[in-house]
Amino acid sequence: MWGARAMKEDAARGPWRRAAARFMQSRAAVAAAALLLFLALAAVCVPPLLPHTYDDIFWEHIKGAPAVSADGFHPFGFDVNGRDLFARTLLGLRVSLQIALLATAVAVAVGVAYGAIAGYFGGRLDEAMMRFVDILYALPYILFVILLMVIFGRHEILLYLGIGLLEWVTMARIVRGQTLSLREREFVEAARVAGLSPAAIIFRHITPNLAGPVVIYAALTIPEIILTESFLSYLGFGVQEPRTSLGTLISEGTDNLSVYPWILAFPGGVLFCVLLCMILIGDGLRDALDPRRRA
Amino acid sequence: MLRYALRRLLTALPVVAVAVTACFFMLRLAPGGPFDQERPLPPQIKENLHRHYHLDRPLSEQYFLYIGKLARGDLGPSFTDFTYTVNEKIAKGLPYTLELGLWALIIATLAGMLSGTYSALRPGAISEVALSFVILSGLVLPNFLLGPLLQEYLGKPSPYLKIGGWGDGSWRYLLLPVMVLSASHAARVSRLMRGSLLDVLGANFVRVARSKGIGEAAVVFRHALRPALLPVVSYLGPAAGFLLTGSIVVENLFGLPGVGKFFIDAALNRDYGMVLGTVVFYMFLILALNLIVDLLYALLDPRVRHR
Repeated sequence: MWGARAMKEDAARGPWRRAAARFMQSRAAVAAAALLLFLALAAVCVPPLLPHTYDDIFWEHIKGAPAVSADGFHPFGFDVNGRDLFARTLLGLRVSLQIALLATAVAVAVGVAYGAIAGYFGGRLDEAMMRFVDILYALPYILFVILLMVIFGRHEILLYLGIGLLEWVTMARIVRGQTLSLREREFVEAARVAGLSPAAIIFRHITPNLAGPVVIYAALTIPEIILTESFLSYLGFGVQEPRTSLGTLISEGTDNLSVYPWILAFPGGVLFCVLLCMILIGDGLRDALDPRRRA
Repeated sequence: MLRYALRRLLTALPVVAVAVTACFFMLRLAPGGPFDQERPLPPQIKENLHRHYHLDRPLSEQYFLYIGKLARGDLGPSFTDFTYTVNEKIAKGLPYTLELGLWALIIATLAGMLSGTYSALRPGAISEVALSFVILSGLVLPNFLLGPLLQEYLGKPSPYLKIGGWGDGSWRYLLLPVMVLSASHAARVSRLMRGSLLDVLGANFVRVARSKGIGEAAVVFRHALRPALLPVVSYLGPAAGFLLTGSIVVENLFGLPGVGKFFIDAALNRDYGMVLGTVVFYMFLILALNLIVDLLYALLDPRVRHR
């Protein structure tokens, strides 16, 4: 009696609950998730509480050192134009996170649809679609970056979409590989026998089963996107002034490193922490979701 | 083996053709041109320049002119530098880029393989945790951040290291740029190596080898390492490509006279001839490297050849 109930409860704890339990066992991943959540909340909630905005200029404090006193709260110091670096770093963090989330959403949507369609139909269509992916792989990444700068330069939203469209390629390959094996399974055959359309089979029966690898790869894509965006901003083609991103702040900081190290230290440190957290979370998710690692 | 190589070569050709076409049209259709400067040129001069570079012809004609030249190995003229063609500029910069990239590739691969193997054999040890933190740092520090930090805190205080220029090409000049270029790739190789070696060490044939009573060193080096190397080898192709393009940032940070430096200058001046030429050249280089890596992979893993 007791044993039967326990077994039922264990079965009722679906694969996602079990994966969550495994994730919670990884101390590094949980700590990273907590720190990342804290930073993200700070980036959203703190700026309205500050007495100044990210573009207020303090003329007497150009490149000023960090100072916290009754006169003002400037724990990160001031940038080359005398703006408060604390407010600017928080803005940069928010912009970088926004870009990462939006671009990842684009990459996942396009990559999953493309890979699932190619993998499900197979044959000629699959061959043609994957050859196109090969072409995108062969193009030097930097070309896309330069073209993005030339064509999209001034529009932040287009920049997000553009970076997302660069990153979908690997996702499509992974999804296609998984779909190839999924479409041979009994439940897909049953759906086909039941007379479902290919679209319904792909999006209702196949894609839910792709969630594991997609979540793992998406978690690894986010830091890549933040790096790409900061690289673009570093070259001066990303987010436009007076708005900013971590890459822009770092490029300003590296120019002043020898005399005013804090202009680099704080944005650089935040970028480092954020990327480190994301990689640790990605590793934790992979260990929790990848069936091969359940030893 | 030869048949496999030929088949790979033949499937690469249409990829090259489509990619070159896409690059050509994307660059020609991008707004702004090499002769749109802050002070507009007199229309007569601009017209002459356009005629000289065939920019006044219809796009399709320009395209076939370009393809015809490309088939003969001519990457065309530079639109802003009148003394050198794209071929000559690439020939000038390539030795520097290749030397930098080759050192970085060798060092990154060796360091990554060693550290990955070590951390797979000692999971959980203090030294492994410290090592994996270093590896993660290498993974997340972008080269444009790592470069200035090394220049400032390692290069400037050191009496031996130079923080810019090629000089006589000795290690004093090369150490820092090679470090910056190889950091993230060493980290990636290390993580790949660790993961795949851990997988292999859990496999049945390793259990069999252990149960025969072979020493741990022989198990690792004679049985586990070779299959564990496969993912690392297949990553070398993309890695070599990334190293070549990554050298664009490093060459600019350290003021090295390689192809990447020319490329950034050309992109900033909208020198389409030079940008297109460099991109097409990089593409051929990356495809060639991928091909070599695939062949290497087929040598290591017989299953690939017979598919």
